[in-house]
Amino acid sequence: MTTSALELHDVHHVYPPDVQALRGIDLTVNRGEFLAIIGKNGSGKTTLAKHFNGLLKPTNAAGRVLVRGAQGARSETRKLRLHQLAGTIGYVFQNPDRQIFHDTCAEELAFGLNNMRTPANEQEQRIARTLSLVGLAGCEETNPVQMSRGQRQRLAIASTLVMEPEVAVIDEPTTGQDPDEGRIILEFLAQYNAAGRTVVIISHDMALVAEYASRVVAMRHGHVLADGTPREVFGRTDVLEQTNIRPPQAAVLAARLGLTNVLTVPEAVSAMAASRNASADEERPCMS
Amino acid sequence: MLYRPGSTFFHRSDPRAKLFTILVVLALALSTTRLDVLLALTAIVIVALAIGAGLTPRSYWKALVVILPLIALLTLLQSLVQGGPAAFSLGSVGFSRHGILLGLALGTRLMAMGICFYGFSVTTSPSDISLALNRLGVPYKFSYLTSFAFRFLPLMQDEARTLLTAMSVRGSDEGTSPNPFRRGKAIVRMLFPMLMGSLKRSGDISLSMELRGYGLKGPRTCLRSLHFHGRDVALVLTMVLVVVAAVLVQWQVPNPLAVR
Amino acid sequence: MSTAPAITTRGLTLRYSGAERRALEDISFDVFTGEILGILGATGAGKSTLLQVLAGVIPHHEHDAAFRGDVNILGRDIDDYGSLTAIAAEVGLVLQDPEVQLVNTVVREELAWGMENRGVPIPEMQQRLDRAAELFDITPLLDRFTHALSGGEKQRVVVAAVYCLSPRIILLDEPTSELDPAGTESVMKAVRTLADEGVTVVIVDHKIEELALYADRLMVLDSGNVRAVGTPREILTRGDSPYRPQVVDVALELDMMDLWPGTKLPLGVDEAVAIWTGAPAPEEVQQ
Ligand SMILES: Nc1ncnc2c1ncn2[C@@H]1O[C@H](COP(=O)(O)OP(=O)(O)OP(=O)(O)O)[C@@H](O)[C@H]1O
Ligand SMILES: [Mg+2]
Repeated sequence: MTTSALELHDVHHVYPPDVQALRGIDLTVNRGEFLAIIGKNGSGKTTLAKHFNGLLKPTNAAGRVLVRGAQGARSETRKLRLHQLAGTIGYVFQNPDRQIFHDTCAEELAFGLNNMRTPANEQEQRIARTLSLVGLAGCEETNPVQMSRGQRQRLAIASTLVMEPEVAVIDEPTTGQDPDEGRIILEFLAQYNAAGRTVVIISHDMALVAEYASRVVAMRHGHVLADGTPREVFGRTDVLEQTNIRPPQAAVLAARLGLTNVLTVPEAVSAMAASRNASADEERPCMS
Repeated sequence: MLYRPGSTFFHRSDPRAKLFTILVVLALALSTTRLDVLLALTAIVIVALAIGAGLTPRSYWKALVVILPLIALLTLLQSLVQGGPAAFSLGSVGFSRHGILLGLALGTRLMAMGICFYGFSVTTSPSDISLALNRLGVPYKFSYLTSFAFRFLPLMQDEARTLLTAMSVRGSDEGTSPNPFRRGKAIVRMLFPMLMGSLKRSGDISLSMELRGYGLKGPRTCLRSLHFHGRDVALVLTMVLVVVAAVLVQWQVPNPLAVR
Repeated sequence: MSTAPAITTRGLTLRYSGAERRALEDISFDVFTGEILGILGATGAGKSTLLQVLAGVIPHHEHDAAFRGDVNILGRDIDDYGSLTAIAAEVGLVLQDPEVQLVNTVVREELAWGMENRGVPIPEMQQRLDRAAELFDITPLLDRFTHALSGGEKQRVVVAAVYCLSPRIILLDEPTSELDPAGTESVMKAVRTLADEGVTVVIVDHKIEELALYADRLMVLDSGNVRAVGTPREILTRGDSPYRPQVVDVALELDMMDLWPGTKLPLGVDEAVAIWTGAPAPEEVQQ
């Protein structure tokens, strides 16, 4: 049986004066899943994610966001102060520069650990390990100002995940990253997820979403338009059209060839190879 | 930023007419210390905003509550330093009646001006202000800065808020603590990165402005234009009448509250 | 695409003061008039620095760095322009961070502002504004406040604002990083249209599947050095590079080229489908 990490009931959010960013969200995030939120620009993804740890509160009286703590007790974000949730839910903002406030990477990571009262002897090792997992090994004494934007982004992710929150929410982890670097980050998150913790990302990179996420929520105009495994969601052409989303290229290729249920490169390869063999058995088409 | 888009009378008024209006209110408020006149002026401002902009005191009473202690303090001070007959006395300390009236008048003056400014900024978009100033002869370089300030302030505010919440999200309660000392600590911690951030950012902003031709010599065009309509003429004329009335009242009608 | 270079650099070398290593190392390349050059590279490879040199930001605005070597923009040495404003009249630059490029309160004014500064006549301004708003799908946002937009919406506005200026050269630093797939495609399409009208485009981006279809040539930067320059086909279909669209991976895995000797590796889905089904390759978006 899966237990929920987060529950949202009828959440609306209106930014003043009258921008309806969320229009009635009912969503349960399960413990241990790797959830990707996708959707058009301005569809409400960031607004939704900010409700997960109470950065934003529902603007309708009936809207509720429940967080399940370590003991299984559920508490409503409306009644909590932000820092009380820090150990449970980590949040990394869309722009790295507004969440880095120390002179060295090590201090940046230590800030959260200190707040969690992590013993000093444990800190050093945890900091070194986390930095190397995001591809910043040996950068302990580097000043973040001197790093590239992509590196700062990875630092921002590291400084939250070093605290090992139960649920990690990361807004666009791979913006501005080279393909290799994007993969480093996703591998890191996958590893984090494999340890039984919940990961939620917002992303426009469908190839990475298809490969790493266990569940995809597609948003449009403040509603959840589709919710399911990547295979289900990317298989729904009606949804894709309305959300400005395209499936990964390998899936598009396979679909054009009439092969269904393909999401990743290996799947496309085997499906195409199989169809070639099948047709070769049938009639041996002439191949020029 | 206070500005809220809308289509009330004051929203649609020409910003130059509105500027004239607040100048008149300002001048009237500063030209007298008569409590009765100031109270009347405040009442006019409140009523005008309610009718012309749909702004009832409900939307700004919070700000007023903040200046109430200030008014009380002002009144207390004036009642102690001003001479004349005492309104009442506590032991050997007499509280001057004239002083009390003067203090209340100064407070009312603050209120009239504050509410008026509030109404102006709620109903006038920053770019309209800068356009109006430009049309009234202020060089573009300077008039633009008024609207730019309205872009920059929310940016700074947003930045500060994000930094503070970024701390909270990572388990520090300093940023949101009700204890002013703990909060102070968070603010000190935030100050340096904020400062460095805004230094770098102002550099980048000025760069992107320069790249898009800010400060170029030669004629500038302007997409939006201002039109002085009949209602604006009416607004200006009304204000002239208010001035005349205020002068007449002060000249002809004796102050009923005055100390004889 | 004509053969006259709009941008030429020779032996461009640059070190930030106080930095240990050079940010750019002996860079020489040409960008031809009406061409789209895509620049790829890991974070910190020097992509943004290179764009800043081409736009005159270094040394005119960023004084922490000076470069050696020759940079020629539209047939004139960049030093001869004398000021950033003079260069900016010809060269439009979109910086990486949208936040610092929104300098007005309302979106419509943001788009108009650069044109106003240059004295563009009102009817033409209106026309360009409407076209840009439609192209980047921001018409519903025109009356919104710039500070209250989502990340991707901000980025669209910023690109649209520089598009409105119609410069002869346009330099884009990761203009699609926060955009959804449709937004990315509209930026690429807009840039293609501009290039076809004779505008020269240099675009730094990580989205190789789009660059494969829309760029004329690609350049790979690595720690300040040019690693490779060539057509998208030359750069993106190499089995040993990290920059490979998924269709190339599929084709390589399937040994498609051995099956159909003489065909080229596919750059996009259309080509891959054509190769696989044996139909003649259709014209891809690029010529
Ligand atoms: N601070 C704000 N004030 C007012 N409106 C806002 C604010 N932030 C976002 N919005 C609006 O709310 C809607 C949802 O924004 P949100 O940031 O959640 O979108 P998103 O899905 O994260 O988009 P993106 O992919 O561009 O990051 C948008 O229409 C946006 O313009
Ligand atoms: Mg967002």
